[in-house]
Amino acid sequence: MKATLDPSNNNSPSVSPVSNDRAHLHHRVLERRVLGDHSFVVRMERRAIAFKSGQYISVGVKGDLNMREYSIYSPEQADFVEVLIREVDGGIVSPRLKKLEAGDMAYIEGPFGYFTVEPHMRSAKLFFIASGTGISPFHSMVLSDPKLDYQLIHGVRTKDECYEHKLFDTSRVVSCVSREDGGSFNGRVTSYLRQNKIDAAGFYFLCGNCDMIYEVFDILSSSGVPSSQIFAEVYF
Amino acid sequence: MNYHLVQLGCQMNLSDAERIATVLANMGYQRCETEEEADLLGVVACSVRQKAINKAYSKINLWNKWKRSRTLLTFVSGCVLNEDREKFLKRFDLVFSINDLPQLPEMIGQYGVTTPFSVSTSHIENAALEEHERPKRPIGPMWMGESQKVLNLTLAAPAIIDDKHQEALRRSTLLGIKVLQQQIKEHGGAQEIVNKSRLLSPIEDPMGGFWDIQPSYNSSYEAFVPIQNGCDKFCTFCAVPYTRGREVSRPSAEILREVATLIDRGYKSITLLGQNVNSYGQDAGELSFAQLLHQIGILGQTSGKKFWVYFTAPHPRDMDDEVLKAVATYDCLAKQIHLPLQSGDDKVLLRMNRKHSVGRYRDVIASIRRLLPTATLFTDIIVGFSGETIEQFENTKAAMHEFDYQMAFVAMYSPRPGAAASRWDDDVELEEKKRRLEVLTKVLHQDSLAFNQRYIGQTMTVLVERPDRKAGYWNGRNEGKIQVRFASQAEAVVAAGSMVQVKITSTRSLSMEGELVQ
Repeated sequence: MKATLDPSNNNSPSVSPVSNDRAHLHHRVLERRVLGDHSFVVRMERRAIAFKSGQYISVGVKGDLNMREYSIYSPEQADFVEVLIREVDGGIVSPRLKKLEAGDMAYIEGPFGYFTVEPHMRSAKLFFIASGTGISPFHSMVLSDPKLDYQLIHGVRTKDECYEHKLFDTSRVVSCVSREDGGSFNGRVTSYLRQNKIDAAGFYFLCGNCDMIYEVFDILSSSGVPSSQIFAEVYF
Repeated sequence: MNYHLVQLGCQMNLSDAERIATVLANMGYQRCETEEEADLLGVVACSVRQKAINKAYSKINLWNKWKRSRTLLTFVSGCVLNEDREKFLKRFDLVFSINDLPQLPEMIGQYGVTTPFSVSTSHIENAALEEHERPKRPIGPMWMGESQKVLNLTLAAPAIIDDKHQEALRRSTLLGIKVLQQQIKEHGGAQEIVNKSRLLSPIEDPMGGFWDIQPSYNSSYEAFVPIQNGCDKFCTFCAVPYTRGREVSRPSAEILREVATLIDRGYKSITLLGQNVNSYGQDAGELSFAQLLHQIGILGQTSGKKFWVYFTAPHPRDMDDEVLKAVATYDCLAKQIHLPLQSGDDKVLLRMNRKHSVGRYRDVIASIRRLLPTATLFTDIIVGFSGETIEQFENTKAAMHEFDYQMAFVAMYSPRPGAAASRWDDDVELEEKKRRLEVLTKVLHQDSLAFNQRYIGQTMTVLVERPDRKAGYWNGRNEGKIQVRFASQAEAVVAAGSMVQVKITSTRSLSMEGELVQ
């Protein structure tokens, strides 16, 4: 956060002959796509970000010290990078990101993380289990590699949280809607798993809130899935 | 002009403080033992525990009271969360990230404090500006809010700032500039002075030249060498990614240069520091950590000197056989591995966002035992983490016994402000945390005692650290970092920082006792 480097900051004249040039971390916002009352996708210039689907980036508004981590929503091939964000009531970063418009500048660090489908898993049956915006890494994975043999089990409270399900092969998607009628299953992800047979040979990727991950981990473990076949990305 | 540093927290902060000391010394400041004697007071802060942050607040509140009756400049750096940083801006004169340390002379200079060695060219340029053209507050990387009242300084330096007397200020500053220009000439020019603290241009250096600063080592035989800064792992109990930022690997050439210098100066214990040392190099086309160790090993071989190189802390997720093979290859790479476990339960590890399982950890331990059969094994464990059940704790206890540690740093969980887990319930009662800590401590003592007893009758090299409280005895540690106490009357042979041969005669759970072998 070098005030001396920010040409747009007129109150901070350059006094230093040296600088930490962080300009390469600044990404222009291309669009903000509203997906619901509190959810939106921010699309930004990709620039030099090289990532694997499942990784996350740290995002903030340029000039703001505060940043948060978001899984990358867009596919590896895209010439932009997207994150799916749910505005947190009383939050620090997400309300500021919600105000971003095309042309504004965001600040990105990363990518980080290891929540990726490794080559030896690509021909196996994959189970993507998400809650809420935890669908992000799976959106990226599926759009990056359409050949994946996957099933997406997505837990949401209301149908409008079924973020862009149309971009998936709908025959592979189970939407578990817990607070209203609709979706392919009425209830929580964990209820769905308990009512259906678990494939102990598959690889399981869990992404979302910690309580869901905890409970699903128990269900899978008790169904004979070894922990070496369970991968999790905890949202907090 | 005197300075005093309050250093809080870990070895990384100790290393940072050693570099701050160099910058201040190059400006002409002298270190003093007490805060009362100082003109410049600084805190190297730690955000790992609230207690440490509270201490920083306590210090600055006291120092600000002193300002009513004396001239004083204050600063804070180190590990600071954004929330605290904004509060510190209102209390400290200077708040900066540690990678902005090379700019400290300029920051101090903008407060009107000038010392014979504190001036850079930009300071001169700035000083020539009319007051209304000056920035409202000194320009520094973390200054975000409004300026505090500029100090009235009555130092020996020529520049005096008094916002009630602008013309006097201007004249005084110009006079000061003339004097300083003369002094700069005498010291070989401004750039030469700047280069004392910043050997290379940091323009493309994400650490802003921080690592170019030669540290002022606190010890004459033990040194800590940072090889990276920041962390990308985002463990939910830890705030480091939010205080030190993302992982940045220090250029290997700089590391090797510093290590070579230490070897040349006869240092006996060198510890490579980083939040995840074995992810070194992953961020920027550098050597891998294993390759770096090989290079250091070669330095050791060619030096013909005896010393030990340690590293802390590796992450189980990134540990591989190549690192262990490098350690096995070279005598100077100490046979001691510190591998944090944190929990022996897979679900707790998930909740901690550790990105490895117990099974993965077990595989790494098996590799260590296979490739480094004599190595001691240290670890870190947290008990009573948010939501940790008794059953999950029992899994940690079983894992601890299975992995047979020689030392474990067991901590009762306490929420770190800023870390993700601080938003979760701290739901394990304090008494239960204490019980769990005692249980693990007992396991550690049992396992460690059994390990140490294998050495009775053996002779080993010990690095002498200090005299024991008991007359005629010294304390030191062996290559595996096990404490060794031994009797010696041979004052000429035994001195702190020397390596001696000790025959082990008895052991305790976490230490050994022996006799000096002449």
